[in-house]
Amino acid sequence: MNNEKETISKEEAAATLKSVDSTKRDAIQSFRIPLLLITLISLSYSLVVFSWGMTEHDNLWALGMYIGSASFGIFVAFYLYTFRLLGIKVNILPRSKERIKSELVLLLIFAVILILGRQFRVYEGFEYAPHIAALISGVYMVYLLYKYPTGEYLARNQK
Amino acid sequence: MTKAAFDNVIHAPNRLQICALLETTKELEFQIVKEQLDVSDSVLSKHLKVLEDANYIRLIKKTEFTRQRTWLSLTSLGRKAFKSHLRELKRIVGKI
Repeated sequence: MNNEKETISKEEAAATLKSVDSTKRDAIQSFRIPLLLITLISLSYSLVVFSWGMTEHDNLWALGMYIGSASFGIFVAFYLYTFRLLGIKVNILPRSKERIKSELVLLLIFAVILILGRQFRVYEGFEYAPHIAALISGVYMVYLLYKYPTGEYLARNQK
Repeated sequence: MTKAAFDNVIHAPNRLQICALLETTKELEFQIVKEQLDVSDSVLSKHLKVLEDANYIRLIKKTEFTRQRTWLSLTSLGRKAFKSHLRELKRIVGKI
């Protein structure tokens, strides 16, 4: 191979790392999910959170939970299918330790919001808790889908 | 200058970029990689062949909707080699 190197300077190494990071960033930016799809996924998830917070024995909000869950599943499947048609297969299951950690943290955050939305309404009597929980979950979902469309997390200012 | 245990197969700029791209997803189609790298079919094929020979990437040809598509993915060996190469670069820079 004519490009073989056994030694490399600090500057060269830094430049190489920078180029790897910029390749990943450019790729992730060009793999953006359509905004309509991001909105639909987030709205359906918000519906699940809101319905869970409002569900009682004598109301129909459980139906909202089922509709929200089904819509969420359909829209996520559509997102994966759209990406596949474009030539991108997204990693659904995390492969690296860092990604397992970050996804567990995300899961915990979403679970806490979901549970608190209901707990505050039922036990503390705060009527708007499900509204706030749904809003926070929805906005956070939009942010994550927009910023990390392939699920790959890149640290800020990585050089 | 620092003596470094480099993976020469990965260190070539285009091949490093191919690995970086493939690391962000499960699989990418040939055409997408070509567009991202802004290289010709033949140049990309040449680099892919080197990576495939080293068992760092997997090429799968499939016909979908009457269209032939070539899917590329990093093998676990390739993923490990790429990560250790990046670790080595970071060590040189002094980040580790």
